[in-house]
Amino acid sequence: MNPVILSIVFVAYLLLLFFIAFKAEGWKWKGRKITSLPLVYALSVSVFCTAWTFYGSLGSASTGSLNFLAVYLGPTIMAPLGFLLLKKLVRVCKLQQITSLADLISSRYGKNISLGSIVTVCCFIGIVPYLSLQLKAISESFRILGGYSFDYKGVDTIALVISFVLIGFTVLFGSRKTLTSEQHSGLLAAVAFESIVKLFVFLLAGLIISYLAWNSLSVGLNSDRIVSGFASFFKEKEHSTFNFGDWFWVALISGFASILLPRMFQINVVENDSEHNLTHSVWVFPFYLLLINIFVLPIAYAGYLFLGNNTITDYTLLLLPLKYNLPWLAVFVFIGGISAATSMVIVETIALSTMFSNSLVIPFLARQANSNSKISSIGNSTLFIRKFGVFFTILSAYLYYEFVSHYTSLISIGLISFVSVAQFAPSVFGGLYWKSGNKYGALSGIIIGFVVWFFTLIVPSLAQNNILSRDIIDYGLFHLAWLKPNSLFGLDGWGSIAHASFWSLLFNFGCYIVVSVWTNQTEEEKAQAELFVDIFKYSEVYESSVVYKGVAYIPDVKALLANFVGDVRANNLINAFSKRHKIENDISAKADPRMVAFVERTLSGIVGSASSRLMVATVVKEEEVSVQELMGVLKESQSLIALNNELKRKTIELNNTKSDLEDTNRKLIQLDELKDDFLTTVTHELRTPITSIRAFSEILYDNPDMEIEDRQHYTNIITRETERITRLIAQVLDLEKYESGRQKLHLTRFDLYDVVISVIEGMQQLVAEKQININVTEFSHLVIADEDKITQVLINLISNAVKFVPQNTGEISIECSLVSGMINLVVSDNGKGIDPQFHELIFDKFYQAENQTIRKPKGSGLGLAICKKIMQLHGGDISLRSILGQGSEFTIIFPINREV
Amino acid sequence: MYKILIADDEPNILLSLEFLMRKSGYNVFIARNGSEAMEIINRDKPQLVVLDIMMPDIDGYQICTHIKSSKELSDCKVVFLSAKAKEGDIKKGLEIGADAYLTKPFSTRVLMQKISELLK
Repeated sequence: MNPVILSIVFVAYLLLLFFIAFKAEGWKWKGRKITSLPLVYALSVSVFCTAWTFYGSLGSASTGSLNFLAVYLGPTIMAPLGFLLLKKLVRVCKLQQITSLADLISSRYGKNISLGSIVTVCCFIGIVPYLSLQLKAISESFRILGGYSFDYKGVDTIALVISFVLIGFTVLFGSRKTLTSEQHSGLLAAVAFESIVKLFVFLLAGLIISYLAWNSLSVGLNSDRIVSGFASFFKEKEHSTFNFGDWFWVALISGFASILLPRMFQINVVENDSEHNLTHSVWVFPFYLLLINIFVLPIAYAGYLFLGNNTITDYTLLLLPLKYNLPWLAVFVFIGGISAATSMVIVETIALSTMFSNSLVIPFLARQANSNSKISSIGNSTLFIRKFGVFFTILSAYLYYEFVSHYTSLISIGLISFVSVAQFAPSVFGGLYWKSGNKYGALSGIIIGFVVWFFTLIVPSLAQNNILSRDIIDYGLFHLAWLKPNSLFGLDGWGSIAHASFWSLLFNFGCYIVVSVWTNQTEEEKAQAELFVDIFKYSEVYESSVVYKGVAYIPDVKALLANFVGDVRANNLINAFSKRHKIENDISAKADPRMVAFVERTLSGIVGSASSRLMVATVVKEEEVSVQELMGVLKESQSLIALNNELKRKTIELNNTKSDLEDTNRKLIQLDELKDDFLTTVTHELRTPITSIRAFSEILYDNPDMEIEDRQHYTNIITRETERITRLIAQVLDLEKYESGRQKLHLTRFDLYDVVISVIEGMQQLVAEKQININVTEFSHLVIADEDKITQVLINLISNAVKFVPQNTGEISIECSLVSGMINLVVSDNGKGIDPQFHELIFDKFYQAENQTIRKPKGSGLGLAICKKIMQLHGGDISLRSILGQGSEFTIIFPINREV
Repeated sequence: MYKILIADDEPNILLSLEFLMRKSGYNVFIARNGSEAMEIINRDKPQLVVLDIMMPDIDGYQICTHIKSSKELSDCKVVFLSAKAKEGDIKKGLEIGADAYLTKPFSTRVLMQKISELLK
């Protein structure tokens, strides 16, 4: 294919990326900035998948190894755990304005400069080969498509040109701004776009190749043969049997790498503007990994069948479309490869250049800066240092490619890098969860881990390329057999990655823990340890907490900040902060400690925490702040918040109480009205007998000559009306007892039939006088209830019936049945019946004397109201069925066995 | 001889009033509820009715309104005799045309005095 066309495609693709990166900040989708969409963020996490994934997985699969899957299994398994870890990391880094992995480690262990430098150097050593891999992928895919030979003499000019294009590109992308936590939202959109491109291309190529391969196979073959061919492909190709140890270690370090690789840290933490984003990436990322691996095996098989054995297996994906004469697909694959490689190079380089400037160069300069003019020169050169970092990083990658990685396969270099960044796991994870971890532990762990890494993975590859003597592999370092790089301490039979991971992490973890336990922390370290481990406890009060005890003046502080963000910006930042925290912002005033802390944090975001601390120290006459003091301040702020919360809670409680009181008041008013009604009713009930008594008393008094018979009749009436009053008073008191809940039941076991019979016997005289009939259907039910109260109810019901049935023809019948545990006792009569309008009223102790002009049937009084209370207290009820003129039927129901 | 109707659902009140009226020489009619009272009023056209307000079927107010709106009964006097003793009840009774309103318990002497005044 014409290399000019390829070059145009390459440049055009980069320009498209550029366009997206610069314009995306203005784009919106459904009213939201697309750069702040969770999906865009989640897709950008897939920067994990580089050219190594895009081409290298196939290379690995083509050699019959399934180990490449472990690289994706690790991050997938790690995702839920990583979610918790990242949440904490993001919180810590946002609060402390930490912008790189080196700065994170340095900051956690007392803002230690040497630790930050060591981490930076280690990252460089570990990552540069990985970067060179991307250059290699772009360059070689270009060569394959352009028809160039792999065997060239001297400099790989293609790779060199690509390197410079990428340097320019990354500088434009990443080093434009210095401030505010290093976010590049346009970059995020571009990376997300690249993630879509590489996935789309891989799936498209996978579908087409699988289809074509299947078709050409099916001619003359049946599908069983294809499947068995597939199986034999693996049998034939597989060099070693499945090894759990290898899988475990590869998965573990891949999991670590998915968090600790500088580019992953950049996307997960630095570019992440909201912890909420993590809830999306936690499932999108593993899903993406699954999708991009789906077609790896079918394509590898197709490559095996149609390309023969002696091709460069890493580029199967590129060679197959050419084989099928589909050049357009090959170009697509080429673009997919570029997208995978460029996104990795850009993000990784930005991350590394931040470390390079903030953890290596600027701390070095800052240590010498003792005046504002020197700091000012640092401020002016920050951007330059960063650009130089980009240049230095990519150029190093090119040189490594040119001189070392020329002949190695893509996948091995990637894993070697993974093991190197895994060396930060003890200090980062330990630092987040273990307060006693200290800088000596971290330093010694990282250094020894790296030494072991270098010895077990780099030394053998150098020896294989004849840069070192092969003796070291065969006989061990200094001819000591237990120092063989491939079988350290005699550990044999493991894959090199598993072997190296095991030893380096074992030494690393061991040193970190043992040294941390043996040595002491400085005060600054203790404070940071406390903040990191308990970040969720302190994050609320962090900003307003005073961390400084020294004296500084506002103009000095402002000038310091202005060196890095310019005068206008510095003014704005300081004004906004003082307004937010109501701090004095007078030109001659001493700076509030909170403001000094704020400036230090802001500077941390630009130059790293260690340098920032050094620079702030030049304007502050500082005394060391002990951890007790710091904790005191934090706890004070915390207790203020607690107090505030307490007050809020109290207010809510008071409001609740208030509405409760209002409710109660309303109820009381209602009760009061009911009480009024009751009083009216009772007084009305009392008036009637009193009226009779008075009338007859006056008649008796005014008519002394009355006949003796009448006289006796009238005095008799007076007596009975007096009894009626007495009875009414007793009922009122009785009812009040039920109302107030003071009435208790005295439960006994008795036969209800016996009670009915004894009640009837008590009324025998009345019944005989009126010449009526009472029929009781015989029954026998042992009930547990209050015998006296049930008797009272029965007397009331039966005597009412006796009162209302007609003379001579009166019929009363009593029946009892048991329905699902409930006694149903019915007293019916053939009296005149009760008008339906009274059916409700009749059990009510009030009959609304106020507005009522229709009278309740006489004699019911309060008796039925009391009966209802008794039955309710028994867990039962009383009801009435009656048709006017056809008699009434009262039913009481209650549980046969009421256990209290 | 004046015809007087006593309407009340309380037998003892009826008994005592009947005794008093007869003794004073009136022709006494008795009603134990509202509908009986209506019947007697329309049939016998008494000169005076002693009315209870709260009765099981038709209340005293309705009966009074009936009397006061009927031309035939234009000279029939109405005396309420009720346990409803609130100011509002009394006012209502007088507003619909009652000639007197006595509350229970009442003085038999005041009642008889009132009746003889009204029948003059």
